[in-house]
Amino acid sequence: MKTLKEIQENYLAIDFFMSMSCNKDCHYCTSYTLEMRNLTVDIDFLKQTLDYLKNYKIRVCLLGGEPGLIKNLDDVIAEVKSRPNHVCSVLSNSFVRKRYPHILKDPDILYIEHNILDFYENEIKKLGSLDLLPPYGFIQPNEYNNYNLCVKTPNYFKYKDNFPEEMKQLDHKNTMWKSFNGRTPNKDDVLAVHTQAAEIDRKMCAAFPMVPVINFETKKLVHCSKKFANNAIHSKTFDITQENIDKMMNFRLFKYENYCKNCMEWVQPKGHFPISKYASVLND
Amino acid sequence: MNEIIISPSFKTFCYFDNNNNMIDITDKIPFRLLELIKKMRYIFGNDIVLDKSLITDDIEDIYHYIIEKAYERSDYIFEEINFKDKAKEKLLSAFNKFFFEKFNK
Repeated sequence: MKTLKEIQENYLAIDFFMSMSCNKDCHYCTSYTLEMRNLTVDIDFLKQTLDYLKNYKIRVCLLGGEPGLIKNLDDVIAEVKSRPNHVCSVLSNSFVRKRYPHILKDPDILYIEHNILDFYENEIKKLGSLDLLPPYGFIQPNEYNNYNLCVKTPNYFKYKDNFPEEMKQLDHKNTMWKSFNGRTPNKDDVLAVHTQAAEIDRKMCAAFPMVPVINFETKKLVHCSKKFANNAIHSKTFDITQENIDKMMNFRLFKYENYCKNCMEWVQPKGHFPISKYASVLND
Repeated sequence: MNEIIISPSFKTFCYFDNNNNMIDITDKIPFRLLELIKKMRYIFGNDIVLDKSLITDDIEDIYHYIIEKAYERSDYIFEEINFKDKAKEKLLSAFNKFFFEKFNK
């Protein structure tokens, strides 16, 4: 089992948008549709894509939409896990926990649950319906590589101050905190939390974003996952070929685009990636 | 001036003029560039060289960005870091490009 730290430091991540379908409609998410479509992954396409990536240390992030809706998710995971250079990661709104609970028992799968829709001053509005599991059904501290992913929506700070005891139960070693990002249509919401990242940080992000995307619906490689904007893809896209994958992995495919200039996505001021990660992935 | 000689202590910077006189230009290097040079020791160790002939055009943008980030944020590089040889070569080229562009401004 690889630890989260090991994975974050040594692997570049790529989002596999298997289907855009989701059973939820988070206000700050732009990569989903409530229409149920493409719920079976084309395994031949998956294998070919993974073949192109086989020489690179990749964290394959299975999501969409909601990966729990994918009918052959077990087959997809088995295929990813059969590749020695890849780490399999699943990001779910908790539907995976209901439909594929065995995934949470496999420490070789990095399972991340995005289970909070919003923080309010007096409550947390959740995405899942696993309230019977204390506290609030969140992922508990564990050794299985299962994590909560909590977005600090604008009222997070008020809630945190009002409910310190509840926060203690949520804020543990298996919880990742994420800054509120630029996907919301209301830019004021973002500006209330953080300012635009410095140009150099946006440039570094552009060269290899946190997560470029393999879009299984269009069978294209997408520069930036943040630019789907209700499924009208604004981000630059590329054909999925060995040449393009090699270029991407060697930081030669993606450029600083016009949409990067006004992007409001949070970028860690200490650096998009730490210098140690660049040392690990450049010319590997 | 195409090459700048760095003293082992990193305190003095010189070049040779056309008559082979050693000219001390330490005072002419802006403070932030001096700080950057010191940071670069964490990557290049004693192999750090300031030489225009190392500048090439065919390296990926990310190497330039890493150098710019190290210049903009002094705590970006704070300890010894081991890049692979090829990456180190490209970083050295990017560093020289950045240095001479800023220095000649």
